[in-house]
Amino acid sequence: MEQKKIDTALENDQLMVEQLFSKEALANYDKSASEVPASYFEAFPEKLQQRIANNKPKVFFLTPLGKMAIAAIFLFVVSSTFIFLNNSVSKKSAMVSISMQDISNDEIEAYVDANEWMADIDWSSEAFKPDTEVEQFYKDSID
Amino acid sequence: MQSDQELILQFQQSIQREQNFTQLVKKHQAKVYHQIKRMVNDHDDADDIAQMVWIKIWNKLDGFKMESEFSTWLFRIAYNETLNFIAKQKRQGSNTSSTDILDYENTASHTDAPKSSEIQIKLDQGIKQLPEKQQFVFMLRYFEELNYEKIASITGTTIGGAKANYHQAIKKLEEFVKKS
Repeated sequence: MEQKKIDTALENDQLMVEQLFSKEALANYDKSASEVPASYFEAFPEKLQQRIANNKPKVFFLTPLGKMAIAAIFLFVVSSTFIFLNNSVSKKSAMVSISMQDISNDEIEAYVDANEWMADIDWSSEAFKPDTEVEQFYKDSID
Repeated sequence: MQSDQELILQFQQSIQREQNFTQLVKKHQAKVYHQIKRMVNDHDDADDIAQMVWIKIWNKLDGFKMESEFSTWLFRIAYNETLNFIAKQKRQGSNTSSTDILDYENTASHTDAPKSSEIQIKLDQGIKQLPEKQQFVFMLRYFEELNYEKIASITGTTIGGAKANYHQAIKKLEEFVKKS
């Protein structure tokens, strides 16, 4: 039933178009569109297969030696990166873990003795600054 | 002769892919080529677009789920490729409308068909002045004799939209004939 409807609609459409233009003109129009060079369709599938083959992405197959070399380089890069990162992390953590409790009193005293003259220089430089209020300075140092 | 479905299934199962694909090409190449040629009027352009269409089919055929007919899917790709080509040509500013008519007259005079009459030139000019989508719908309907349902799935519109496109095309052709 539906197919009949479609067929009738199609016939009506065709008639409408053929009323506008002659059937002959329409046929000739289509004939000119269907003009193809000789044996074009016979050669087309082969031409197409060639173009598809040319468009395919190239895959490189490595020799076993090449594969091993690439694997060795990869392992070397990964392992050396790991060792380098691991070393720098352990050094940093060693630095952080030193606390005052780990340093003996003798070491601290020796450090203070050695750097006493530095403290003197700091004090005198502050005291003889032209704009420094000496009283305030003494107050601060007493506090 | 094997059906489209059988050929596609074998292609998807990697059984003689090239041979099955070639069978599909042989079955449908003429219809696709003619539909493209009607739109672009030049053999080299039509050949180039047709090749692009079939390369797309080759690349996407593994994923084709056969929910629609193969020919509908094929025409849909041809439709998109042709419209893309025309749009690209327009962007590049090439105007071939006047040469198209000359080409048409030349090809008509070289064929066995009667010499191009005034009405044939009018028809050609009338079709050329239609928007590309309406041209495509008109040709699918008149020359390929496809129903509106198929035309709608090819052009990605509703059945009503396809009908409207076709009738607008006819009206414009009628106006063009009356004016000229």
